[in-house]
Amino acid sequence: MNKVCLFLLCCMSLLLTGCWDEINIEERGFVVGISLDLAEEHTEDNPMITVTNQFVIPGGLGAPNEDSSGDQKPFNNLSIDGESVFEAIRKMSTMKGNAPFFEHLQLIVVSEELAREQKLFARTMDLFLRDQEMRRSVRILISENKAMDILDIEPDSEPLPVMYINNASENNDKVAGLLEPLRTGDLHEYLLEKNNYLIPRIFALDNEIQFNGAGVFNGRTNHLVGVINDEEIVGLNLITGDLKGGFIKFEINDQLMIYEIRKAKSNIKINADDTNNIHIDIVISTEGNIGEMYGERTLLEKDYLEEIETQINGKMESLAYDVIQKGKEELEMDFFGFGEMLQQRHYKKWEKIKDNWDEGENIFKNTTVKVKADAIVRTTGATDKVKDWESE
Amino acid sequence: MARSFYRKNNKQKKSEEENFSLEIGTNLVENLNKINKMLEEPNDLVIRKFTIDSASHRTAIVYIDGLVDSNYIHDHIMKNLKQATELPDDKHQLFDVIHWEVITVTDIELGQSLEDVCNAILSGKTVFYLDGMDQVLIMDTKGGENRSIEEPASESLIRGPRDGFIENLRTNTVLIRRHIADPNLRFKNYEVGRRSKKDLVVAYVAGIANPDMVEEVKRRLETIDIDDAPESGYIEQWIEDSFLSPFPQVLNTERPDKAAEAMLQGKVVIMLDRTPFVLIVPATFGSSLHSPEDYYWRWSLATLIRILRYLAAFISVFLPALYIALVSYHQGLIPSDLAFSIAATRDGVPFPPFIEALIMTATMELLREAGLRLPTPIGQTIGIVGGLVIGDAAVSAGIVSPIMVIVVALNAIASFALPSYGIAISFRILQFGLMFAAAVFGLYGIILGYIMINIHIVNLTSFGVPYSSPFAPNFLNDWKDLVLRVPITMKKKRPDYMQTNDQKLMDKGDSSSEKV
Amino acid sequence: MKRFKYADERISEKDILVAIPSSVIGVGILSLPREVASVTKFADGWVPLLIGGCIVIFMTWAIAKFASGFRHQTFLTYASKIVTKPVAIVLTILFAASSIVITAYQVRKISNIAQQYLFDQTPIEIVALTFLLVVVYAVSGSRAGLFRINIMFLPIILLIAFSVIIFNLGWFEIKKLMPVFQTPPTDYVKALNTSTISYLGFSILWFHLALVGQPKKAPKMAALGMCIPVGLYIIIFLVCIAVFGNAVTSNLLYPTIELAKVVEIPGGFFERFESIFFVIWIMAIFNTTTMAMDISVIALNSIFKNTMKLKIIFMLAPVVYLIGMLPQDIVTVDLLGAIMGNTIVILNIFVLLLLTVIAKIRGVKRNE
Repeated sequence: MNKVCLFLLCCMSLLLTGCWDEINIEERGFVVGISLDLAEEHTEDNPMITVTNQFVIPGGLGAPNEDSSGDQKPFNNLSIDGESVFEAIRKMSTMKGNAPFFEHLQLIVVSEELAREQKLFARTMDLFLRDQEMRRSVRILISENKAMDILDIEPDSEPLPVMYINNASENNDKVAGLLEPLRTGDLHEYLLEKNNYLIPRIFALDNEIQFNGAGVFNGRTNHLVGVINDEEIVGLNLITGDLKGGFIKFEINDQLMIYEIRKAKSNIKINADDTNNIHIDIVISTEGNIGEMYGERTLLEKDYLEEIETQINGKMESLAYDVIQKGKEELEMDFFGFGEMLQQRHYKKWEKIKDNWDEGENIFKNTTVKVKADAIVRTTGATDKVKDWESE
Repeated sequence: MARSFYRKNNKQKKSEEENFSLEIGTNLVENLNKINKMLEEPNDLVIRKFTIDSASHRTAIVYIDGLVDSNYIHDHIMKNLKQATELPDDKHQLFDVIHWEVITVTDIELGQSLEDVCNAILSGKTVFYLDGMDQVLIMDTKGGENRSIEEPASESLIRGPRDGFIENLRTNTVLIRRHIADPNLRFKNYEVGRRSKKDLVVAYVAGIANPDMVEEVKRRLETIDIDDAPESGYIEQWIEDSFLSPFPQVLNTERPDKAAEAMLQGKVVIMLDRTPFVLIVPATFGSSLHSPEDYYWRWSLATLIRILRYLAAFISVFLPALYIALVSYHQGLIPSDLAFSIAATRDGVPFPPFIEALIMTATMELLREAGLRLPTPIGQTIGIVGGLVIGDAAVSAGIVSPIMVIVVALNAIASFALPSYGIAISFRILQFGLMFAAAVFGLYGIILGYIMINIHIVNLTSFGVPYSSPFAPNFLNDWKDLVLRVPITMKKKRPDYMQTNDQKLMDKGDSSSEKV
Repeated sequence: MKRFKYADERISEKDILVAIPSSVIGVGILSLPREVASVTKFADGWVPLLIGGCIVIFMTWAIAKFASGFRHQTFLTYASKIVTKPVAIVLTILFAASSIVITAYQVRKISNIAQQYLFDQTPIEIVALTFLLVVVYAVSGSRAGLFRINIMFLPIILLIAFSVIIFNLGWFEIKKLMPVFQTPPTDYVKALNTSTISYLGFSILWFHLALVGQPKKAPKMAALGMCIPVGLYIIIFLVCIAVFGNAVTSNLLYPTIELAKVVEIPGGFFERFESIFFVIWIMAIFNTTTMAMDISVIALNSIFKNTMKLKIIFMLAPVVYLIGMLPQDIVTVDLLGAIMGNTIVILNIFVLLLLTVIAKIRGVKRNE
């Protein structure tokens, strides 16, 4: 019988306790996107930021049984200024009937203006890693102009701009000039470690967004120091081997040809015997096919294919050299992860030189980088030629 | 013990009240009067007085009309007695001759007391009196109307024998005998009910069933002291281990094949007269989710169906609780798009999910109950029409959200998919508890509820066998026939958890008598 | 009532095999990768985890070997034979006290984590109370039932742990495990301490081995059982490093749960795997807690023989609750955990040495 009493006691205690956390799904203000801008009245000493939350209005999404949804907008953007993100978000709960709920947050857009402020970027990111409601897979993008404008676009294909941007950013297997989307989990690592990193950059254009290069962040101060363009990202992706797919546009016999990359791999060898003159050898090997060609010469010739491959190699090498040049000369920063590799492979040496790698003496600037590309054309697509002007 | 004590008591009481001797006298008329008096002259009591051997001896047979097979009495008693000639004069010799030679009823015994006579008459036997003898012959002439053997409605299978137990105990034992023609098959007889005096048979296969368990079953049966056991449910509730548990600790079935199969696993079957439901002990959680059909189909299909059944068990216990937990606590777990659409559909629903779920599950239970009470064709209509109409109307009236209707419908279907009605009911009870836990603590409440259910299960035993076996205590060998159902040829042993005396189910080369 | 052989309060060696990992795997692993990663460099933490594991496996084996020598005898009985009754009582009380603290620590820890990952407003007092009540319900049942619960839950726990690991394969970056062996030896020692503490849970052998019907194979089974958490911890640690890198791992409060947070279930059936993971992990914590509480119940019951088991439990429960609720913040809780862990390791080693040596000297016979 004692067990019975105990059981009843358990039930009683459950009964007597309340439901502290019960908030029904329709009372949640789902936030899917956040944008961070510098506030208008921003001063150096008193950094004010404008936080814009994109709330989903579920009724506007066109749920199956709602016929009354009509022309209701599926989202609602709300901006508010505050010294900290948390403060701004809490202020927002008083403005909105349903308190903001971040478990479905998908996207954070930070304006370039804010990202250029020293330390401010890292500070604003703290909440997104600390708060329990946040996921580690929220994507982060840098916006060229005002970040809140990005959330304001009304795309045709998707009801929610955030979903639209998310889908678009996943197409990095189609375009080589697109970085793999950065997640807050990865950012956490970047913020804690001293390596430089990149965040994809985006701008809004008449209800559409376009990816445009990436912002280069200094790993120590965590602020945006420079921008690289799409071409340079292709080069970077080739060097790091992170290329998921994409294409190389090149010319052969003055005719345009597209090489579609199916598989890309890079092999980097670092020779750090002499710390003042570190040799970095990069071998890029790709596999792919001809995606499109303007010319009319048959591709099914061994010599011609080899010539094409040479052209592709040349193009890829020049892309890689360009971006390395940019890193070494213009930005004077290593955003290729060479430092990390040194740490992994030559830890003792790295400990000695790490403070002078891309600052101070800037050893990185004096490294010798050699790139060799090895492209293979596996197939020419479904056909050899589709046009034959010579016979006309 | 209790029963015989009671009987003694009863006897004294009766003799005091009515003040007549319970012995059978030598005077026929007096004896017949005694019976009439004892039963207060019921109108279905037939006393046929007649003489035999050219009217030299007065005799009578007594029986209750309807309980006996009158053709049988005619053919085997009356006709023989009337035609018998050259009978000895001496009463004792005559009685013996009648006993040994004349009467051709197969089951015949001597009765010494009035009580024997009464009990015999009331259970459909016929009593033969010979004037001048203080003994009677009790002949088994049971007969009367019986339902024919047909497929049980509560446990229909696609593939499997089409016979089912009926109300007649004798027929039921025969059905089992036909399945197991083993000399070790044992039927132990008991009588249950102070007033009803029903036959109860404990059936097991000696040499397989663990003797300790058989003893335990018998011990518990002997403690039964009730007026009447109209159905085996009375027996079940009297002998089960814990009356507080929501889980059925005794299985029941209407299928002889299932009962026979259980006996060959070392289980004990209890059959009560006048009910087609026989009891199988011990029950374990795993065996409650088994159906005889699992063994009739090929193993791959059977395994798949079993996995499906465990899924159904999970759905029928947890689904509404999970819905409540997800919708009112952990919206983050729902995929974004789905979360938005649930939010949209719940917009305007005035109740919190817990109340919403309670309304819908209560409605579902009502429909289920109403459908049971009504004749089959109408019942089905009520189920379908009620479900559709009420569900649809509730959604369009904005009382519940469409997702809730899906949840409840799925939950109901899952609980119907379980092979045992008993376990389905217990899941239904648990489901309400978990819904409540989920309403208070969300997922945390559900997991605490789940842990508590598990604590309960591991502490529960059914006739000494842990209810959780063979999961825990773990008998890996028994896993071959738990969630999986391995090919018949690979199942070489009887369940370990039954601690049977004869473990081997097959051994090639050795054809011992206990090979099945 | 007559019962079957196995339905009484006896357990098999196989149950010991399961009970050891069940009582080891609890809240420890949730934060262990942080504690180890913060004192070691890169992925070197696996070394102290392995060494600590080996030490603990050996200790488990030694304790089981010693305790199984006294078949069906309680700790108090055989300890009294070896080191006189008063000393034995003191030792028993020490074990009881340490188990009470473990129970309290687990209860407190689970409420903290639950509040962080499942709740927001619910006070931890309530979360702790409900959990404790369920534990009390379990402990007040049959002792064999506790072992059965272990058997039922352990596969689920291991399954969820491995599914977290497998779903994380996509986020693996082998390069994060490089370079190897860069940690200075002194740091290894520091990490060794942390790792050894995390394997606590072999105290059950002193008390529960008396229930084993045939304790002959128990030492082997106990050591085998201990291998499960050692292997699991090393794998989880390496996965944490490979997914997060050392820097992030040493900064996340509960890296193992965060590991689950990274998971994206293929097919998008549900999101936020960490809630599911933690909810199922509650079963692991529950096992640890019940086993610890049961040790203190057995220990006290062996001293106060005439007191009913239930009475002891009902007196223990408020004590456990109060101790659990005592620390103010998360740092104090961790401090409590560290002190408790060290004490228990020392206590176990001390008792093992003491009993073995004195038993040898005084020539106390074992009934092998």
